Amino acid sequence: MNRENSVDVWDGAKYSQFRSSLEYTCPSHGGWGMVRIAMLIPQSHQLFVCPSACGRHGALGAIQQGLKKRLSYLYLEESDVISGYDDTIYDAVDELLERLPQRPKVFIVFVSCIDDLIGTDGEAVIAELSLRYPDIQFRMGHMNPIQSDSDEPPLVTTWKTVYSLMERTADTVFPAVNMLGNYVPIDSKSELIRILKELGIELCHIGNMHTYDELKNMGNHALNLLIAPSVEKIAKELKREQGIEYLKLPTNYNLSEINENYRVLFHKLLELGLMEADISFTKIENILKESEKKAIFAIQKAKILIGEKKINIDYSAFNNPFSAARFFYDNGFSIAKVYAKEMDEEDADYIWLKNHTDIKIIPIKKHDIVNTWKEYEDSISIGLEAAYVSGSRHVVSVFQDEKMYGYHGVCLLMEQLMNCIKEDADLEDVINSAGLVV
Amino acid sequence: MLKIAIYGKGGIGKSTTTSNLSAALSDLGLKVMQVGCDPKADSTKNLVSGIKIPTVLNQIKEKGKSIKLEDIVFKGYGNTLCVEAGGPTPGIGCAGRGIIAAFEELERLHAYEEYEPDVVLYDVLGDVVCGGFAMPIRGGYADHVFVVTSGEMMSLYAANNIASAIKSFGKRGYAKFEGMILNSRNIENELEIVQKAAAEMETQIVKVLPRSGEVQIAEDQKKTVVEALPESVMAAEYKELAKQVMEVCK
Repeated sequence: MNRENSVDVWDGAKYSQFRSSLEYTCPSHGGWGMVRIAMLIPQSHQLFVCPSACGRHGALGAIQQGLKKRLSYLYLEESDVISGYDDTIYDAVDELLERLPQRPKVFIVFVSCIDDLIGTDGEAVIAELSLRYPDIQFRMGHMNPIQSDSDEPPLVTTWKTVYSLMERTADTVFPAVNMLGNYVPIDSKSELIRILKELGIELCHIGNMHTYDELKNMGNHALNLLIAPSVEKIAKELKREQGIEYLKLPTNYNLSEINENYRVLFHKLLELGLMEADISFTKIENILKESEKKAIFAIQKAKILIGEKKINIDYSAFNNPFSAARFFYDNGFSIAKVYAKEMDEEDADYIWLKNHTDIKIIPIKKHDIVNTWKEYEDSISIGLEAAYVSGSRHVVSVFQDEKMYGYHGVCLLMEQLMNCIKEDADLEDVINSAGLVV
Repeated sequence: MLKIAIYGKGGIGKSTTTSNLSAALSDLGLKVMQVGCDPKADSTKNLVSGIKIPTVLNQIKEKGKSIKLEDIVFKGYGNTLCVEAGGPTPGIGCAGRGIIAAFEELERLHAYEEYEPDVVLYDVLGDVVCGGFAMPIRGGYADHVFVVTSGEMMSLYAANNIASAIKSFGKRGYAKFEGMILNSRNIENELEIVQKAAAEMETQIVKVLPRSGEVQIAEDQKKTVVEALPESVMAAEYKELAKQVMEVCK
C-alpha cells in the first residue's frame, strides 16, 4: 500500500507521551467493567462494599444490563472507615444469604479503593466466610482504578477472580479448548469451531456455561486458548497450580497471521494428543481455504463500498488497535487516527505503523483531546470512544474484538463496517444499547 | 525461612535491638533480611554505616514499573539485606497504606524467592493501629512476633495493645506472639514489673537486655554494637538474644 492511504491529520508528537496527567473520560467510556465481567460467573452474586457514591456507576450499569438482581451493596460510613468493616461484611453476607431467593454457588465480595487505606485482610475475610458457608465459593474482588497502571489492573484481577473458579479434578482431560479473555463467545459460524468439531474437540467459553459446576469443570479441559493479554497472568497461574496447558493466540485480522495461528494451534493440539499426526488434513485445509476466500471477498466488498472514507480505530474496539490499524492499512482502507489508551513502544505493529505510515496515534485520555472535538464527522469510527471524540457519522459498536476471531472474524468486521455506513448513527442510542452508563 | 516481626512503642529501642539482632544472626552464619516499616526509614541505618538507603515507596514513586530489587534491597554488615519501606511526610498521607504498598511491591518483585533469606526481620513502628500496621503479622508474612518493651508504663501499655491485637487475630492464622524483649531503662524494680506484665499477658520475657553505654558508642560510629564492639559485653548480650530468638522460633 502507498503512504497516501494514511492521513497526517494531527501533530501527535506533542501527545506522544502516554504519561498520566489530567485525563479526559468521554461519556462512551466503559464497555465491560468489573461487575459485568464477574457476572459471567454463573449462579453468582456480588456484594460491593464501598461508600455510596462509588456504587452509582456499577448499579446503574447493572440495571441497564439486566443484572441488578445479582448485585448488592453494603454502603460504608465514616465509622466503618475508622473501625474497619470485617464484621460488617460477615453480617451483610449472612443477611443477604437469608434473603436471596436463590442461594448463589459463588459469592464475590468487592471492596473499593478506600480499602487500600483500610487494608482489610481479604484472605482472612474469605476464609471466615468459607467456614460459615462451605457450600459457596467465596472470592474477593478489588475495585481499585488507582492500580490501573500497575501489573495487576482491575481487568486482570477480575479475570483472575473469574477463572480461578476453574478446577482440575479429573485424572484425564476432556477434549475441549477453553477460550479465555473475550467477553462473549466467538460467533457460532466461526471456522475455528468447525475445525475443532471436525477434530472431536469442543470450544468452550464462560458465556456458554450455565452453572458453576460447568465453569469449574472447564478446569478439566485440555487447553486454555488466550485471545487477550489480560488473561495471561491467570493462565500462567492455572498452568502452575493445576497443570492446565495454555496457548496464547491473540485475535488478529491479518490473513497470513491467522493462517500462522492455526498452524501453531494444530501443533499444540498434536503435542497434547488431541490431534493425531496421521490425520487427513484435507477437510481442515478445505475449511481454512474456504474461510480465507470468504474473508478476502468480504474485505474487497467492504473496500469498494467504503472507498476513501476515513476510518478511526479505537482501543476500546480492539485488544490491539495498532494491529487492527495495520490490517486496514494493508488492505487499502484510509485511516484517520488510531485512538489509544496506552502505547507499548515495543509493540511490533506500532513500530511498523510508525516506520511505514503517517498514521497518527492519539492518546484518547489526554485532556486536550477536546481541542479536536468532532473534527472528523465525515468518518467511520470503530469503537464508541473514538465515535464520541471524533463525532463520526458512522459507528461500529464493538468492544474488544467481541465475537470476532480468525477468518470469520474478518468477515464479521467487514460486515459491521458495511452496515454502519447505511445510516447515520444516533450515538446516544448506540451508547444506551451497549449498556454504558453516562 | 523464619519471618519475625518486632513491635514496640516508639523510641523504645526497636531499631537498635532489631539491627543488632540482624548483625548477630548474620554472625551465626544466617542470611538475614531486615525490613524497616517506619516512615522515618532509619531502621537499618546502623547496618549500612549510617547511609540513608532509598525507601521502597520513594523508589516506586520515582521509577514506577521499572523498579528492580536492587533499587530497594541493599547489603549491609555481614551481607544483611536491608530494606526500608518508607512512608509519608509526618502529618500527611497514610503510613499504614505505605506499609501495605511496600509489602506488595516486595512480593511483586519476588524479593524473598530471589534472595532466599534464612531470617526476615520486620521492624515495625509503634503499635498495631490500623490495617497497614497489622500487615507484617498477616498470613504469608511474619510467623513470630516479639515486642520490645521497658518497665515504663506507656511501653508496657503499648506491649499489651500489640499482644491483644495479635491474640484477636489468632484465629486467622496470623503470627504467634512469642514474648517480650526487655530493653532495660534501669527504672526501679523493672524486671519484676515486666515479669508481672508478661504473666498478665500470658507470655514470657525472652531476653533481658541491660542498659549499656556501649550502644551509644556504637551508634556514634553509625554501627551496631555487634559490628563496632564485637568483643563487648553488650555484643554478647545481642548474640545471646539471637540464640534465644532462634530457640523460641524453632
